[in-house]
Amino acid sequence: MKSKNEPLLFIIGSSHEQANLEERETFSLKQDEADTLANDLMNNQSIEECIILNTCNRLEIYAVSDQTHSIKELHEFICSHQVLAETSFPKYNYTKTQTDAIEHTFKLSSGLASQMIGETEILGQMKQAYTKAKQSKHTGKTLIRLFEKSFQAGKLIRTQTDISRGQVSIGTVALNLANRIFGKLQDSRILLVGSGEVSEKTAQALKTKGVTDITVSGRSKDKTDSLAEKFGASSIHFENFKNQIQHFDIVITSTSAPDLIIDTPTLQKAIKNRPNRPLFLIDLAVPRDIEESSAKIENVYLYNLDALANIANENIALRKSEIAKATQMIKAQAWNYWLQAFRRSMFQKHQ
Amino acid sequence: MTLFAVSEKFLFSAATLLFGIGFLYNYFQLKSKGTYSHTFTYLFLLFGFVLQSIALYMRALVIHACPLGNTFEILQFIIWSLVLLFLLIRPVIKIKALGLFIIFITSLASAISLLIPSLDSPYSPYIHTIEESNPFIELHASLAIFSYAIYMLLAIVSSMLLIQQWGLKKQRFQGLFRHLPAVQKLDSIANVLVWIASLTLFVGILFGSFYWNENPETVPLFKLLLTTFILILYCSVGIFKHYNKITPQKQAIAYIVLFILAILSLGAVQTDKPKILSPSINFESTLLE
Repeated sequence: MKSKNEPLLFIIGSSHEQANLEERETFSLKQDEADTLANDLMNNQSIEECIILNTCNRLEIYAVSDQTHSIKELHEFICSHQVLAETSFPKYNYTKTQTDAIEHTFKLSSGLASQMIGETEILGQMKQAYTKAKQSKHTGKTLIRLFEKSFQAGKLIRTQTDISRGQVSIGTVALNLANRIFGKLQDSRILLVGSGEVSEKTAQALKTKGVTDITVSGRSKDKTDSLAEKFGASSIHFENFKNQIQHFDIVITSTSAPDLIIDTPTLQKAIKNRPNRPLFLIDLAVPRDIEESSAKIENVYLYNLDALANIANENIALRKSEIAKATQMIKAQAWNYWLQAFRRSMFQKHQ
Repeated sequence: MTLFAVSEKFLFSAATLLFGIGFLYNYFQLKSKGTYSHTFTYLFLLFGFVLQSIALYMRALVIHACPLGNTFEILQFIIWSLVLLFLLIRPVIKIKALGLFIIFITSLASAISLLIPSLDSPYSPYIHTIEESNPFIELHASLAIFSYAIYMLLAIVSSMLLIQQWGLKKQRFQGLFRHLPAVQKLDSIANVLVWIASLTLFVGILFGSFYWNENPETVPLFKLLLTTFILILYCSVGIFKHYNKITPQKQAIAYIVLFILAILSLGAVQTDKPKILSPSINFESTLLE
């Protein structure tokens, strides 16, 4: 039985701002783990609503509490949960409440809190998390209103400022890097390991750049074949791709495997068989697919998500004034929303 | 010698100044705006080249031969050949940032040659007299020095490759790194340049041998052995690379080291001179006439 205290909106989360890729991959939750966490939170007496946003760059728990437990107690409850206790989450996290939480949600939907400022992918990820929570009946009026408003704010800020203009995507950065290594990208042989959404987007980006020689490899044969067919690519068995690496110039991995799928000895062997050609590795997976030490191999260039995002953000200076403008707009939007919510709660109290 | 009351030393200095200004202008452009002007680089190199050509011509008029009698002249001739190479290939083959590297190297090397007066020492008595000047030996000298200019270009391309590789490994994307050509392209250029330079040097040695055949007493054995040794080393690296026995990075390091050795060997070659009696030429006195 839940009490009728004043509801407290809070976010407990961790993102690229608190934790680097190495730390983040420890709390990159699988879907069933995220579901367990959401269900256990909802079973907590104090929590009335909850949405879990679980992406490669962040794990954020949006919740509304009736304040029978303090925020400190809730924080402890979340950090000591079985799926997070052994990860870096308890060490690298933040807590935001009320207006700060609203402002953060608006910032996130606008792409201002993203690793690559102004990107639009986060909006889709937020919508997915929101839909899932709604279907599981984990949302109530506070979170529904907050998320709906944040989607509107995100769209408004993107249309009224140039925050997303000149934005460099991970795909563009990867292609620019490939140009710095091979010159003509069209002549390069590319292997995509993983057949998920990221692979599909990457294949699309490569196709638009005129790349023709693409090969796909993934655990799911059906998904791999369908991706290969869609982009006119070849496919190879997941079990065999390691022996074929030497034949490719660029290897892009984006699997959801919990462990490494390409280790340093495999790459040493591959580069030995192609001493005159460099090997460009792009690891878009969280947790990472390629062993970090392989970057030390001569003629091997390894880039992961953090590295690509850092490069993409190098042109951020050009958009500094737009960021300031967007931040001001978010503050105003968040304050308006807070006033509305406050008025509504006062009205309900006096009814 | 003076032309319109301008000495050739003044022209060499003016050319160096142009190269230096060109480099500094581009450097600051790159630092502040993240880009630089290819056209300005080309123009600075072109005007510097014109001044340097006149200066070398004035020197040549004095000795009635290719001015390669001391370290200063050899350095200036290598720089001149390097700039000529760039001016010729730039409109045809675009190698990003090559102009920037060349203008830096030329201004540095030219400034060093001017700032150390002892490099422009009077000709030693062994230098062939005007009457004795032989077309084969002149061709040999100019081809050999021209090959050194190509080797210098090879060292520059190798440096660019190492910088690009370093930038990629350290994940640097801005400034100069944005302007460098692809690793693969630089590697391919190096693979071609080494054979062009080696062939030029080989032909140079071949022409020299025609003269030495007729005048065996004039053969500077140490010079010949040293130059041949350097040629063999360059070819060995080229062969190793061709058969994938060394990586592009090791090849680039080898070419830079070999070029330093080649330049240092010029000093050794200068000290190993056959004793042919001929009047010495003192440039200081010639300049002040």
